[in-house]
Amino acid sequence: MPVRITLKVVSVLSCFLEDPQLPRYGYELTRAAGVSAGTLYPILDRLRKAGWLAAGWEEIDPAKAGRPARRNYRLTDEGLAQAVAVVAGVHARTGPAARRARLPLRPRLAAEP
Amino acid sequence: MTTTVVLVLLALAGGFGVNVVSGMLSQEAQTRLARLPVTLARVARLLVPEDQREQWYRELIAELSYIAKETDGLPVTRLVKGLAFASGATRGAFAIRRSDRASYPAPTARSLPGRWQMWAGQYTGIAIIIAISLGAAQGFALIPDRFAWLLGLLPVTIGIQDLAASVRRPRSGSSPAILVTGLARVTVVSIACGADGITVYPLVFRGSSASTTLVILAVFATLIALSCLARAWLASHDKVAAVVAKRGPQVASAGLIMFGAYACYKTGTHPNKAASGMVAGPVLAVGVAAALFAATSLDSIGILWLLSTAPYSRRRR
Repeated sequence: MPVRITLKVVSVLSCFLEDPQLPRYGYELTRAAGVSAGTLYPILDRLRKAGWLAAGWEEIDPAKAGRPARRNYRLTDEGLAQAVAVVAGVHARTGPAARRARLPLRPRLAAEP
Repeated sequence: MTTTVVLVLLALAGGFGVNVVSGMLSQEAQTRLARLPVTLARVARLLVPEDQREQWYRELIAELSYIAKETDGLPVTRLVKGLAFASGATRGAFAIRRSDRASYPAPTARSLPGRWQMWAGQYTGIAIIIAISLGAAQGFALIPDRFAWLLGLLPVTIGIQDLAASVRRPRSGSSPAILVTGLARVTVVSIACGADGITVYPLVFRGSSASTTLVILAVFATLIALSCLARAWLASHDKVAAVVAKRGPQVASAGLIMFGAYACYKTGTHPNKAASGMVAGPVLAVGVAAALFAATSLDSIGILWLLSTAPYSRRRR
């Protein structure tokens, strides 16, 4: 399933790539990626349906922690490969070398299925 | 002497009672405010497809509990962060619902809104918007005249933002994403489409006399009827309807910018007349309100056409 790549999707993927093995949580991602919950959750839903993310639940004892377990998200193997390609593509088109070569940011950063 | 003692004791008891009750009211208000994010989470739960509701609700409550724990002892911060998160999640739920077309059943004759629901929903939605605008106009009337022109900047800002968004990503003129069924949903869509008008209608109502206000309301009632008739006509003219659906938001945004700029000019250059309203006289007030309503109603006509099933609408001619 193709994923429409926007700069906000790239921000979210970059957060996952900081530590691909670490599960991430919704509220934490809104702060790390600098997006609102209204932007984040549709992105997470699209990435999950495309198979780039797997969802699970936090492994805590709610009674001891004093709060219920949160839902977490983690990159799948396919998601990791795609995320690396997407973020590398953005860096290639926006880095100093690209600016010197005056590469346009377009064509669109759409991921191929 | 006895009477004085009794009166003093009654006064003390009364003062104590007032303190206790006001303390209880304050605590009740705090508790209800603190529960607002959870209430929003419940609304968000209803927006996502049915098979995702329990999981979605569980996730939101867990995140809100985490925020509450993180902001322990900071009730205002907790409320602000909780509301920001919950309201964002509600918008996200709506977006997920729109993208999940497979979860919606194919439309049947019984599931689509009937004519009376379209009419009643539109009138109810606009009535709610007008009620909010009248209330806001009372608040705007308290603003000093020399600052009244600032009120016009709000619709200008929102209009520019919406116009930029609609140019960057124009609405598709085909293929409805979700199905609008029932009076309540038609009402909600009418409110959602007409909500931008809340930035301008209070400016029109501000300082208007009762007779001018009544005339404006009568014009609105007539225009709602015309827009319902226009939608019925559009149901059998798909190409025109598709253009209206696509360009409606841009026309509405341009209308907001123009009227906001007019409000800034009118109240800024005529500060002494600001107290008598944004427009001088009922005729101009009617004209301004009618033109703005027509601009914003194009958007609601377009989206309500999109959200009904075009093939079915053709059969309903």
